[in-house]
This record gives sequence, structure tokens and C-alpha cells, in this order.
Amino acid sequence: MSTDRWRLLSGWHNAWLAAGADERDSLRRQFVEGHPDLAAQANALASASAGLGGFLETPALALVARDLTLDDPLLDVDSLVGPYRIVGLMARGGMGDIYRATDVRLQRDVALKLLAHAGTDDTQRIERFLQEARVTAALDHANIVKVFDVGVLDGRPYLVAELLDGETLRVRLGRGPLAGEEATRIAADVAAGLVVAHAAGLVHRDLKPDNIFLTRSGVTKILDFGIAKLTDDPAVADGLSTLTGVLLGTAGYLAPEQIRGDAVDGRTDLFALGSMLFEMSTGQRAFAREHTIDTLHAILHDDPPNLLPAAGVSPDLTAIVLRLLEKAPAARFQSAAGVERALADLARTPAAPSVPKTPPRSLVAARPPRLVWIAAAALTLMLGGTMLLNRRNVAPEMPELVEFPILPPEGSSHTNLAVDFNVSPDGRHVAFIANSKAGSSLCVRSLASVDVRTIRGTDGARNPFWSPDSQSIGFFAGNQLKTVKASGEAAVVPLTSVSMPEGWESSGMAPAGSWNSQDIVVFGPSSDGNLYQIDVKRGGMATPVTTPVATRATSLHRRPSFLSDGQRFLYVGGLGTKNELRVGSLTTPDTVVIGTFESPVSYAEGHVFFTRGGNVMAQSLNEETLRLEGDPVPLRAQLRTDMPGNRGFSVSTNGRFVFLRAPKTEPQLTWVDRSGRPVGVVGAAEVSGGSLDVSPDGQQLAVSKPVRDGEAQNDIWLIDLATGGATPLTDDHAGDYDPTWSPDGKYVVFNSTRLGGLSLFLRASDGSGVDVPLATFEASEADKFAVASWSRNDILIFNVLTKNGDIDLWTMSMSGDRTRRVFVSSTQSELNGTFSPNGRWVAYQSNASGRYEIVIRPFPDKDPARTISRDGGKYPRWRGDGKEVFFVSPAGTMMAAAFDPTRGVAQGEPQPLFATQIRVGDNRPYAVAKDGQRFLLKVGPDQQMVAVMDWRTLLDR
Amino acid sequence: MTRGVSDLTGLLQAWSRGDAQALEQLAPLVHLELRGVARRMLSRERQADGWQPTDLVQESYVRLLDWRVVRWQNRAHFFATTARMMRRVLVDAARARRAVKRGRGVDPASLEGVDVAAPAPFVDVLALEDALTALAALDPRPSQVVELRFFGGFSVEETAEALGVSVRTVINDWNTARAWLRHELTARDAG
Repeated sequence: MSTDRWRLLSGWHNAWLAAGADERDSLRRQFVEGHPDLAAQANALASASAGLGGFLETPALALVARDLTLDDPLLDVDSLVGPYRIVGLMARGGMGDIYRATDVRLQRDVALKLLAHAGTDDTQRIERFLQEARVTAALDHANIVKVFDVGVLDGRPYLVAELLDGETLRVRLGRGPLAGEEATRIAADVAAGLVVAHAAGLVHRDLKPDNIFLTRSGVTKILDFGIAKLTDDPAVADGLSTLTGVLLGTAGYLAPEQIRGDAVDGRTDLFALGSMLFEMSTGQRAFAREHTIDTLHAILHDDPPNLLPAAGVSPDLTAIVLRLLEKAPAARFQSAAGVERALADLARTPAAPSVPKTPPRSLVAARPPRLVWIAAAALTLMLGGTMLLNRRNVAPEMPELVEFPILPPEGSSHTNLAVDFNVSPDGRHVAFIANSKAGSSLCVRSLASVDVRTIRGTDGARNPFWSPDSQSIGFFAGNQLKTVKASGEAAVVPLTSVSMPEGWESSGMAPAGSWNSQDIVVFGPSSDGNLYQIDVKRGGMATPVTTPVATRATSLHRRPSFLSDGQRFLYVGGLGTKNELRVGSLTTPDTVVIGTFESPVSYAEGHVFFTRGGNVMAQSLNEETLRLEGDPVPLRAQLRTDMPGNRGFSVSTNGRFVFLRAPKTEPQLTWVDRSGRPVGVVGAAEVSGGSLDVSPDGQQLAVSKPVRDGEAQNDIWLIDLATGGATPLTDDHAGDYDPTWSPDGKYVVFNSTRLGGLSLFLRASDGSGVDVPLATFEASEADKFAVASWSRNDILIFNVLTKNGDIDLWTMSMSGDRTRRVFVSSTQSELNGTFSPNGRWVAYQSNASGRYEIVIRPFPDKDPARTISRDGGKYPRWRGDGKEVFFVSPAGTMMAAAFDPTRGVAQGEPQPLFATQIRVGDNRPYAVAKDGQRFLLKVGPDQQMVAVMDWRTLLDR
Repeated sequence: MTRGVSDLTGLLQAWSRGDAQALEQLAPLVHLELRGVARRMLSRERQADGWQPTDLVQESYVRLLDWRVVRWQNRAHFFATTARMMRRVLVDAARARRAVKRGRGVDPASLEGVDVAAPAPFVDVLALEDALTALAALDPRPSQVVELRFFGGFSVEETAEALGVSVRTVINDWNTARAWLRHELTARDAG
């Protein structure tokens, strides 16, 4: 049966269910006659419907609960656990069972908490449990439960504590709110316990009514310091570090900083105390929502409901509760002692008469006035219906910042360019480019779901842009401008060929397009510096719409963006720090310059967006007068700034804002296997220029890294691969880059800017002696010498930037007179030469074909080069036996080409291994273990593409 | 071996991108978590509190997440992920129990009613799993509806949100799927 037939059957079945008993039989017969192939199914549905009862109506977990706990049998009464005789079960909790027991030695009644079995992977839980015992046993205070003993029974750890007579605050709250004095007293008791715990460096982190015990004699006890963290003891904190970020608390009592994964301290417990005090006073949870995910959202963004005055809570106590519930720890009480004092003062002074339903004036005034646009954003959200985080609680005060990450499809990564994505004009989809080992493809993701669709036939796609109706996407692939339906349902349509400017990948000159409602696309830059237009419907030849006014080097026109009339368009001219923002027109050749920016510019919704430092700035543009109005204002969006292309954000016409977020963690130098799976981490990848070279004995890594973060002085460092320890090899105020080892491991060759240009130097790897110049800019006909490789026959091969502006490969005999000889020279560039292990072959990259390919040439003969890459390649490296050459494809995929080092022939097609984050512009951004099984390279945190529902929510208020 | 938090988060992320292997590795961890949930469901205190199974399940799901990384996924994803994970874990639990019971020569794995007001009908969860897989081959949507409703414990409205379809569609799919599955399970018993 097909899906269509199933749905037909289901449609009939529901009509049949809705029909009266008298009609059903005729409905069934009609259907069976009309669809004899479905007769058996229809009859079966009809008869099964009669006896359904509550079939499947009870959720599976409720049915299976007992099955799930079979592994943890209850202890029999009178059985012995160490010296403790079980008297009876008191409670079953999430983590274990609590028994009443008798210490047979002391004839004292105790509470025994036996942890549940955790399967085979038990270490963490046992550690946590023992930690609980250790830290709690160290505390001696009337308001903290006393721990006597700890042990393990059949792999189940247990804890012995003083036996308490009474009930938990949770149970008490089940009978309704508490009187003001009682709530105040309990809160003061908890605060007193916290004073002692915090002084001992302990934060509870999981305070909630279940963990507060009210004894019959009227004493409040804090239970379960089980996930407490010894903030001042690194040794203990280490053991618990794996717990950081896991939310172990009951959601409703978590503090905002816990949800964010930020640092936790004593003030975190004060927030929980505030939540409990709120609940004790009003009988309502401050942030309860139907779903946990909504509760967490409410804790982060919502004010507590205004229930305290109506519940008769005095203004003074209200003020204390609200201060405890401040989102920012710095705005709360700063110590438990402060809370204890405030509550004590309250208890001493007679309760001020409360004024129900009228919050104190000061609290009203303390709320910042909400701007109209927040309500507008909420409205957009409601109408769009896309990202409703809480449809039951949609109030005018919607989340300030609704954001979520956009992940690439399985097995792929975001591209290394910051311009490779755009949000659709209607804000419903994001088009972006994902790299997999098969290459780059156009992907579309709805902002309403996590599904990512890879559009077929878009291999090699870059820089997508949307049609104004959000139905189609234009993109660049190879030297073509193409379009495709965003639904992916129709084939890709090639529009026109594009002559891309050379080196656009690394220069920020990436081509871009803008599509108006008459289906005219303006795109560029092209290699002649012009922007072109083409009619999407009619096709034909693209024609220039701008003409460069100065020389090519200063006036590549780029980043077109139509204004709302669809005739005029913004674009950027100029280079570097002198970007002119201009307005061109489809109908007149006139150009208006409206401003100068340090960065490229985007336009949406009457605003010009540009970057300054790591921030996105927005400035209003009057389309009538073509004047910028007001001052630029920063958005609270920490942009990733280390990407070529330098934009990293996109704005839809209804205000959706998608950007690449600055990663919170640093990339790591990581060993990966041939599938790209990490198999070891060397350490932080604070290396410059990217070049990595492992010593011939495999013990050390030579890198270039800044002396201090962000400083221009880069030295060559040697990193011990076993320990991660790093020591500087060179010490010069200029930049030293691209280290490479001699085959015997005794020397490191590197290039340096210390003489101006780039010169090659030699230094003993044990640090002795001084830097010895090999080929210097000063005394030479060339500007730059860089990126050497040293053969086993003591030949050095290196890049030379000639006066003509292209790169050639030269060699130098290290054992002879060090005379320099030209190895390969052409009008194109040949660079990054690397000797095969036997010294007979040089693999290098050449752009003789128009783009960089990997070629191999015998040495020292000058036989013709054999190209071994198929679709471009950079950064060749050899396997230790010379039988494989590795390189990186233009899309960033690590490739492996089999090679016969005896006969000098490639064997078969290069095979893709894994997608890397290697960026354009680095020199030797990875190293290979001798056996070719492991690769050392920078592995950064995943590219964080983040969507925000309205960019105005990112404005500082 | 201690399993780090980053593993969990990485697994969840990998799984949300469609990595089936990540689910394999996640399942035992979720199972562990759900056992805690089940224990609390059975405890007197929780029953007095009136919490619903789904609250607890969601809590357990949230407890596994590192919110610094996962942050605001949407609700639809949340519902779907929870239900899929629960289905997997509960079916595994039933399978394990059948293995135990077969060893003892007693009845096949079942979901027997426990601590609910009206005795819940007997559900052979392994037979249900097979029938549900067969149903998905005909039309994935009704099987997703069952997954969300029965295994996830979500309401009709939540299921509609998770699947991006109307409430009416969910009700229709639910009606037919229940009858269909009931028939399939009965036929199995008879055969």
C-alpha cells in the first residue's frame, strides 16, 4: 500500500468514525465497493475501532516504570548493610532509596541512602556520591543535615546521615502557601546554613523544596550537598569538572547563570532561595511553565509574576524576594549573610501593612520601560508562528533574544568564508554552503525546524542570494551564475558566465548578487571591476551597470544590494580602509557616494549594516535623500572576525538576523585519523600563519606563534608532542613564520620579516647558536623567500616572490656553496614545493591551469610535471614512505593521492578523506604522521551560525 | 570509565544532525536517566506532587543537555527528540525484560499497568514496535504521531507542533493508527 492509499483509507476511516452508528455500515460498503483493494484494511479498521478502549492512551513510560526499576531490588527489613540494620523504606528518590536503619554498634537510628545501580558506567555516580558524603560531613551546622558514614554495598554506594523527623518543604508546599513569618524563618534558616557552606567554599547548586527538610521540632535542614562544588579546592573541583554544565537541578529553581553554563557561586544558591521564598509566600512557582524548556526560558527572560502583593506579602519581604530573583548575580544580595541579616531585620520589625494588588512604587519604577519594538517583534513571532518558544505564555514581553544555532548537515561543515550564507527576505529560511568531503553544496534550512535540505546539482556553489519572493536562490559555481528553486524541486538553471576576480577567496572580493522584483539580478565584482546585470527570465548576455572610475586595483565594485525601489542599488567601491558606499542605478549611469566605511556593507529595512571591530553597526539610510541619518549603533552580536570575506551576517527584510558568532573556545591543535575523527589533542592552536611541521623523529612540532596574544612579534616555537610543553626557538621583534625541519632534525629553517620582505633563516633546533641568514631580501633580486622543504640530499626548495609578482620555486644546496638555482619558473605561480622522502620528487602547487593544482616533478631533472589533483589542490604533503601525497581541495577537503615513488606515477584518482576547517591563505596548515594515518591540524569549535528573530533586539537599551 | 558531559552534548548534537550511531551510544545514558525518572514516578512523594510522566521525561532530557552549546533549539525539535529517545529506550527495556523472562519461561514482554487509576490495557511493546515500523513504511506521519503521543507522552497539540501539521491531522492519524495497530497486534496474537 502506498502513502496515498493509506491516506485515502485514513480519510475514510475518520469519516466513518464521525458518522452515526446507522450510517457506518453503508459508508463502509460504499468505500469497499469503490476501493476493492482496500476492502480488507477498511473492514479491519472498522472492527478494531470497536474495541480500542484506552489502547495506547497511557504514555509508555507510565506503563513501563516498574520494569525500569527492577534492577534495584529493595532491601529486606532486618538485613544488614555494614553495621546498619534496615528498619524500613522511607522513600524512593531519583538517585536512590532512603531507608530508616539502626546503627547496631551505637543503637542509634539513622537514615541510610542507598544509591541506585547505574549499570556498568558507574564511576561518575559513585564519585558524585562519595563527594557528597565528604563535603557534607565536613560541615557542622544546625541547618545542614549531619552525615555520619559512607560505604558501598554490591556496587551501590550508600550514605548514612542523622535521622530526621518531619517532612520536606516540597511536601509542606503541597498543602498550600506558608504564613509570612514561617516562610521568613525557614528562609533565614536556609540562609544561615548557606553562610557556613559558602564560607567552606561549597555551593549547593541544587537547592529546591525537595532538599529542604522541616523537622517536627521546627528546625530547617538543608539536604543533599551532593553536587556541591568545592570552589576553592582545585583538586576536588577537578574531580567534579565533568559535571559542570550538566543541569542536575530541578529546572524551576535553577539560576540564569546555571542555564547559561556560566560560572556558579554562592549567589546561585541565593537565586534558588528566592525561588523557594516566592513559592512559600504565594503557593506558586516563580517561573513554572508546562514544559521544562519553557521554564528555563522563563528563568532567563521573564520577570517573576506580580503575585507577591496580592498574596499579602509585605513590601519589605517582596523587595527581598525580587532582589534574590535578579537575573544578574551582581544585582542580587552578594552573600547569604546579607540575606540572613535582611530577613532578621524583617522579623524584628512588625510587619508593615501590605497593600494588596499595588506593587510598591519603587519596584514599578525599577522596571525599564519596554520599547514599542519589542511588542512588534513579539507580534512578528506570533504571526510567523515559526519559533514560538512558549505559545502559552506569549505576552507583549517576548524573549529579548531568541536565537539558535544553524548546524550543517551530517558529515559536513560550514564553509570557511563569512559570506557564504543569506537569510531569505521573508526571514523563513537560511541559504548556506556546507562543505562535505564530496565538495560544497547549497543548503536551505527553515528557521522553523532543524531540517537542512541539500539542494541537488549545486556542487561548488558559493555565495547564495535570494529572489525577493524568497522562492528562488541565485549562487555562483565555478565561473557561472546560476539559479535554483529554494524548494529544490526544479533543476538548476545556469544564467551566465562570470569572470571572477583573481584570488577572490582570500581577498574579501567574493562575488555577490542582488535580485529585484522585476527579476533583474545585479552581481559582481567581475575581473574587470564592474557590476553586471542580467534578466533572470530572459537570460542572454550580462551587461555592465557600473564602470570603474579609477584603476582596477582601487575600484572593484562589489556587494550590490537593491534599494526598495528595485531600480537603485547600494554597492561598495574602493579597497581596504577606503570602502565607499555608493548608489548606482539600472536606468542612469550616475553614481552617488554616500559614505566611507572600514568594512563591507549590507542593506536591509532602511538600515545600512557594517562591521567595526567585532561588532555589527546599524545606521539609518534615507532612501529619498540618500543620506545616512543619526549615529551608527552597535548590535550585541559578537561576530566572528577571523574569516576572509569579513561580513559574517545577513539581515532579512523583516528583521531576522543571522550571523557567525565569535567562538567561545579556541581552536585546538588536534590529531585526527583518516576519517577526520579526533584521536588526540596537542593543545591550544594559538599559532600564526598556520604552518605546522613535525620533526623527523615525530617528537616535536615546529610552529610560529605570537609571543603574547595579539602581538605582532611571532617567534618559532617547538612544542613537545608528548607533553604539549612549548619553548621558543627564535626571539626577534619581527615575525618568524613557516618553520620546516632538516631531515636529521638538527635544524629548523624559517622565514622572517626582520629584514623587510621575507628572508630565509636557519637555526639549530637545540636552540644553540644564532639565526643564520640563508636567502635574504636585502641582497636579492626577489621580495620574498618562504616555505622551504629540505630533502634528504640536503637540497632546500622554497618559494620566491619575483619582481613580476608571481611565485617561483628555487633550490639551494645546503651542503655545498648554497648557490640558488631556479627549479620552476613561469609567468604563473608555483609554490609550496615539498620533497618526497627519497628526495627524488617534488610535489608543489601550480596555477598554470588557472587554478591551483598539485603537480609532481622529478628532482633534479626537469621532466614535465604530472598533475595529480583533479579539481584543484593546495599544500601537498608526503607520507613517510612516499607512496601517498596529501593535499587540500579548494573546498577544504583533505585528499589522498596514491603515488609510486619508484616509477614516479600517480595511481588512480585522488580520494577524499575528510572535511577540514583549513582556510585559504595559510601555507602548510597541517602535518602528517609518517605512516599517513594521522593528521595534525587546527580543529576549531564548530562554526556557530546563529539566527536571531529580530536584529533590533540586539540593540543596547 | 567516566563519561564526560561533552560526550553527551556531542552525541546529542550528532544525533540531531541525523547520526544514527550517536543514538546507539545515547540510549544507555538515557536509559539510566529514565530509570531515575521511573523511580521517582513510583515514589509516594512524587505522586503526591501530581507531576506527569512527561514532565519528568522532559526534565531528564534537559538534564542531559549542555545548554551552552545546544541552547535554544525549537520546541518542535525538542518534542521530536524526546519522543524518539524514549521510544528507543523503552523498547530496549522491554526487549531486555523479555530476555530475562524467557529465561524463566514466563509471559512475553509487556507494558503492564502500574499505579494508574484505571488499569491500562496490556500492550506488547515489542509487537507494537514491529507494527509501528511497518506502518512507517506505509506512511511515516501516523507512526510519528504514535511515537510522540504514546512514547513521548505529548498532547495532540504538541504533536501537531512537532510535526508542523494541524491538530485535525494529528487526530485523524492517531485514530487510524491506533485502530490499525490494534488490528495488527491482534492478528499477530491470533497468528
